[in-house]
Amino acid sequence: MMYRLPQIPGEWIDRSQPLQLEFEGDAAQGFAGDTVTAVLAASGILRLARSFKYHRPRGIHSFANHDANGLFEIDGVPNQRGDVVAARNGARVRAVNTRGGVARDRASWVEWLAPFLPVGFYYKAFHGSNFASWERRIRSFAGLGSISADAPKLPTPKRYAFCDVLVIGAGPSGMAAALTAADAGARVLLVDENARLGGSGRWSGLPENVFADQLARISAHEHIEVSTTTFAAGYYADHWVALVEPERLTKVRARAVVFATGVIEQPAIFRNNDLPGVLTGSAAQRLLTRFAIAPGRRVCILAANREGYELARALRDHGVTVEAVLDLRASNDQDAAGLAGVTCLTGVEPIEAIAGSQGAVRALRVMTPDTGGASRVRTFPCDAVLMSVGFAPAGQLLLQAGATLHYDTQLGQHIPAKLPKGVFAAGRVAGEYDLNERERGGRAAGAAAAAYARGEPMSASVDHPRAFRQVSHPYPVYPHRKGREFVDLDEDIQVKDLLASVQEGYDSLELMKRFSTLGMGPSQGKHSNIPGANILLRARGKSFADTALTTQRPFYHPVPLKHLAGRGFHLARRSAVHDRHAALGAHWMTVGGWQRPQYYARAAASMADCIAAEVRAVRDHAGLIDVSTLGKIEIFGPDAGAFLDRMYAGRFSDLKVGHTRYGVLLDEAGIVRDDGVVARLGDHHFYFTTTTSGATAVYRDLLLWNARWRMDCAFVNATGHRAAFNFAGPSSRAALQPLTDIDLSEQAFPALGARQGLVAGVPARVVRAGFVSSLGFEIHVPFHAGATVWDALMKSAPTICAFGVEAQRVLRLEKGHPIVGQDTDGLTNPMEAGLGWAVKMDKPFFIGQRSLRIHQQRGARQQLVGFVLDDESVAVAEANLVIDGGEIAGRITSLARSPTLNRTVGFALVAPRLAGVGGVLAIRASDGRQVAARVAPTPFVGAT
Amino acid sequence: MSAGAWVRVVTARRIGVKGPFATAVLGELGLAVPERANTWSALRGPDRDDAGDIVARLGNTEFFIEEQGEAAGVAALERQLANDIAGAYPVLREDVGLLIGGPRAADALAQVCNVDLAGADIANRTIYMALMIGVSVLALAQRSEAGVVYRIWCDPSFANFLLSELEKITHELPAGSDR
Repeated sequence: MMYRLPQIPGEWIDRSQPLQLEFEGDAAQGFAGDTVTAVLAASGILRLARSFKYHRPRGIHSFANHDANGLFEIDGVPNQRGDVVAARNGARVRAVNTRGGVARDRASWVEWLAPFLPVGFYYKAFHGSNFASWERRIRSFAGLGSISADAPKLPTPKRYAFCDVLVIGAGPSGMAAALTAADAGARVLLVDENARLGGSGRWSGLPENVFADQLARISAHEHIEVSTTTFAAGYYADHWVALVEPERLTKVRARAVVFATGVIEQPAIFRNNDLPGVLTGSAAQRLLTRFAIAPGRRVCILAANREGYELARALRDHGVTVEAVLDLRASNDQDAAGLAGVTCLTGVEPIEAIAGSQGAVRALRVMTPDTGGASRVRTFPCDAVLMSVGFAPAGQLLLQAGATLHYDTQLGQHIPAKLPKGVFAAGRVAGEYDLNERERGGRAAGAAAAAYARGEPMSASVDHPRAFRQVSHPYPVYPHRKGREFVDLDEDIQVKDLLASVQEGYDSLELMKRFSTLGMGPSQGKHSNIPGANILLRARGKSFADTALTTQRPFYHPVPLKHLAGRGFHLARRSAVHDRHAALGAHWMTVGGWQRPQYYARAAASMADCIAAEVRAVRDHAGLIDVSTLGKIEIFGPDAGAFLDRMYAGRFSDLKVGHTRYGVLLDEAGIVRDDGVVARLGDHHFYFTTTTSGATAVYRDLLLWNARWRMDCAFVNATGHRAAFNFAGPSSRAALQPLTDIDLSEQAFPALGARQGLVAGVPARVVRAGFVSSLGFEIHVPFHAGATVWDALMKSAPTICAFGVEAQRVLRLEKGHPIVGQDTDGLTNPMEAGLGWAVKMDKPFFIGQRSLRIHQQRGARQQLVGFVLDDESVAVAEANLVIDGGEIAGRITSLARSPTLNRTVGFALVAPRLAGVGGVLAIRASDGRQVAARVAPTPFVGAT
Repeated sequence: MSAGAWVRVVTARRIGVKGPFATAVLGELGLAVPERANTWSALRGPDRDDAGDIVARLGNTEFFIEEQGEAAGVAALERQLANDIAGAYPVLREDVGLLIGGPRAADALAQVCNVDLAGADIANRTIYMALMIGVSVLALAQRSEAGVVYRIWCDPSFANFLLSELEKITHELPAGSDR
């Protein structure tokens, strides 16, 4: 039975602030500073959880924020890590994998099925047609916790941070590294997963006054920033480390990183090693030194290193009865010194832990050497079994960083063999166990990291003390004929499961993990991967020296999804007249990142009616659409015309000033990728538009190509800096003329003209545009003046109507203008899109020209054609297929009901044999029926 | 406005010029020309660290100018560039300028930008071209009487998005410094 001790120096709790929480109906008493698990332990609650598969009772195991035993639902939020989550007064705590609570779990009968659930059972039993059914049943039965849809949304912002030296782990070596690096002038960020600094130094002999002095120096150091309750979850290229704090994720970019991540204590594998009351030695040390909790009243220690004896001395000093120190080694050297009166045996082999009435341990049965080389079975009554038999390096971040680790047989642990640039390791992860070694290693790593951060070269060698003492037993695995020797407590994996995996051929670590699910639980194998690998290697007659550790993908430690989601930014561009659109009742759509009016709502009118009304307004009078979203690019310089000749399929060097020309942009495969109108505003000055979604990519390509061609021209991307409006319709000229000093007459400003002048008093570039109407003016003005010009145009005549993107699509379709990306696809060349007239193959060079010649030789694969629908009784939609001879022969790319023609028209990409005007297209509608359409000449609408 | 950090819009006139003769044009008008790319200088007069009117050199031959008040320098440059000078081309800069300050200003920016603006090189007057939550920006840090402030410019079509997100963040930040 665990219990709270009288006050001890350095404890983390504030005994002046008692608190109480409720665990499945029982009250548990603690203090401010306690974690949830600590409160339960201090209250003598041993059974904290039920295991994932067999629903066996489980208690504290690592107390290190690793294993599934410490997962709780706290105040309705599942899977909280009780080992580190601070206890709150009044909190309601529940286990996450029970039916009816830990004490009376109705699912505990599952364990009786264990003989019928061998490893790989799911793979073998639930496949084929019944898989979905079984999957649903298993998923509903399994799982850790449940999510409440009503849970409050907690803000979890992400942020970036920067430092010269990032030190991960604030034990003795990490603190020494941080201080040394900071003293050398480096900006240091020191992070630790625990609430306070110190790590295992608190129970490794660090004198209290030295420890306090280090803490004070770190706290006062202007170059050190400390982040506690923070774990490093993943390492990415160039020293980019993801740090997870309780309420946010920080992306740190460091110049150098010191990994002082320590080690993870590994369990001994013997029968019933999962009983409540069987825990690692370091778990007991954490309970003792941080929260003044004794792990039991009468304990047995399974030892295989000096740390086990240090634990025995510490417990005895606090009044705990140490029943025996049972050493797995043949000799304990001088480790047992100072433990007079305590039974210390060597050469011990554990047989089993024996459960008491509530499932917790009540005794440990072992085999001990007897006289004459014989052995005998002895049973030690106890209420806690503490395992101090070895460690594994917390080295996964190092592996992610590109370090290589090798197995040191003397130490019994993997340690770094080669570190990448800017990466340093210190402390127990590097094999340094004794306090002086750890501090010395930390200082060396801190100094080296600070030097590297200053730009000094890094030494290629990894300097470690060579006189290692053995800290890990080579094979603390003791199979029992009745099983229940758990290797992975998260997934209830036993020794026999791993041996069965090997026998079935899954005899590499990667395969065995997947087949057995070893290491796939919440602890991600922190206590099971090394023992599992050990068992595998032993079964294959190999050792760690023969193999390399696997590198886990980030994240090294489970990260709440809310941390990854962050704030959820939704990029949205707004034009200069966004508020005007809103006032007109715009229904919004997102196009290329811009918020655009899809249409403007009208009272008691459907969307279709609104769009039709906007179309009719443009055809009958004049309409205004905001086309600020178009890409708008300027090219200056003597080579501007020649440059455009290279970029575009058409010719622009001969374009006269004050004129425009349609341009189509190809990729190197001769495929249409963008289009727009190019205006020549001066001898050395062109201004052109791109599609809304293509602006950024086109501009980037201009810069890229000119970096190669080195032509004398300069580029300006004015896309966001200019507002643009298309004022279109038969009345547009008359309405616009009073607002501008530009002569808009047909003679002075013919089609394809471009002029500069004032519109509503604002300097403007005006282009004759025919995209939606035969008569139209595209007016480009500085962003700040956009609203002024929009307002003036809207008031220029009583019949002016704003129209949105949907009306524009109908209007341009009526005029027979394809939209790149909608009426073309990733294989459409300009000839197939009906844009061959815009291609000048006689130019010496343009991007895509060579490929286009090949396309021409091969002939068209498809052809864009206009069509009218003969039968409108069947609903046809864009992307419906064109069928010919029972085969797919094309698809509809655009379709709209034309208010002007009062019929449905569209574009389709079809096989060239079907492209003749007057030909019939058989369209398979969405409901499967076939509808006839007739290929028609474009434009569908003529002079309006 | 939070005591931890605040953000406001700066009203000023802005213009850009680029091309091989941009430097000469600025010099002719008596406007400062920063010697190095990615640095800024006071537009005119004493070259103060906290200058409001600035010339930023964005590359070897590209400059960005911001001037508040009468903006005579920007107006003069506009007039000059309207003459179609070979090798000096006008750049329409309708950027929205933001000023972010307060003891936790850097913390606010750390939530939106992957460039270390808290460690911005103020002494060498570095100007940064960075990405803030998907928006391309120019940014610099200056010392002022109110402490370090950050000046940011972005395309006006992104301004509403960036400003509203920064306002949300600054309002959520508690008072006091992050350390």
